[in-house]
Amino acid sequence: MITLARRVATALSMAGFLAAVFRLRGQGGVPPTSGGWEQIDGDEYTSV
Amino acid sequence: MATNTPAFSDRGPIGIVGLGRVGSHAARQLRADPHPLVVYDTNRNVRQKVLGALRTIDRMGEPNGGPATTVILATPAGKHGATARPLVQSGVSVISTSDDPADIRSLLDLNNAALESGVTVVAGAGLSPGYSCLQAKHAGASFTRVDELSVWTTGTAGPACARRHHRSLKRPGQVLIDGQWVPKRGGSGRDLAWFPGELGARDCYRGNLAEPMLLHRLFPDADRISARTSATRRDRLTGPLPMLRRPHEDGGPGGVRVEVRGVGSSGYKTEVRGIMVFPSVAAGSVAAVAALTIHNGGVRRGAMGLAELTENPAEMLHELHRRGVVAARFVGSA
Repeated sequence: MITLARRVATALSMAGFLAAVFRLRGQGGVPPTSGGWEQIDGDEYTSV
Repeated sequence: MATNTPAFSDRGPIGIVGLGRVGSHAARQLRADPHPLVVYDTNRNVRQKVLGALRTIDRMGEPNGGPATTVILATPAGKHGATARPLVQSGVSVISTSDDPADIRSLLDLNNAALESGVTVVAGAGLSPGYSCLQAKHAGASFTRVDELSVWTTGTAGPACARRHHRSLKRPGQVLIDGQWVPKRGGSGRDLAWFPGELGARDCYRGNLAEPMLLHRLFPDADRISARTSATRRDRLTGPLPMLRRPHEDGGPGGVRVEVRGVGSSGYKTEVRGIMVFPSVAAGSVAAVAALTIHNGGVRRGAMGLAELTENPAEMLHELHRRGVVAARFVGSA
């Protein structure tokens, strides 16, 4: 029983560690706080 | 452009070699124009299926796209340079949809051969690179000095594109940092990018991507140029392995986000453009418009990226907009 508990704890620890590595590496990002996407009008390409 | 072409083509057919998702969409785009098409794919069923959707003047071509004088290469990435060389030497203009940096390098190496033959070679005529470079060049025109360019992509076209995307995440790519080319490990440099529409936020990573090379040709004075592509955790975990299951026939909606940073007339500014689109449809449209632009004449000769084809990228962007490849601009602050 203790062996099983140890194995479960080890597996969960490893899963948590891997998840943390994949989730935490990198800078992440900040969602836009205002504004949004606006479609570019086709006329814009003819005026340049 | 298509709207300026004569009622009946006197310039001969346009060829398409490779009728996967991108090649078949390019064919469908070109059937509305007066030039006859010659198409080829190693798969006979695919050939018949695509020909069935084309006009009576369109027919099956030779494996190298003959007898066309302008050929779209839409075969899987990897051998576009080797395929293009004999075509260029025999006086055929080539438009390559490959996004593999090795392909693009070998296509750009055909510059002297293309100049000697008086033909044009376009490397990277797809959504990314291709459309992304057009948008970057168009956006960059409003800057007095461009310092930094970044491109993020998400989604894939057909199975070959998905396999290339899988490979790109496990291979190193070159990025420009402080004016120096620096190799970066594929799958590194996670960055959360925001795409238009329903695409929303996607984690993107460095990889073996061609954009920095092509954007550097457009903006040789820029200090930093980078490119990233989206990937899920499963993509990253299975990156070193072969693809565990067959890719989808079409990768579905995807997109591109392009950021240009530098100095404008009123100080430092950032221009952000993006698009949500089916990559296969957009890449096919871009290749078709590039082929028409070359076939109708008046373009530079030699080997180059798509955005170097004409002085003003707005012409091609306008034509693509007319064909439904519609971009957006991010207005606001992060």
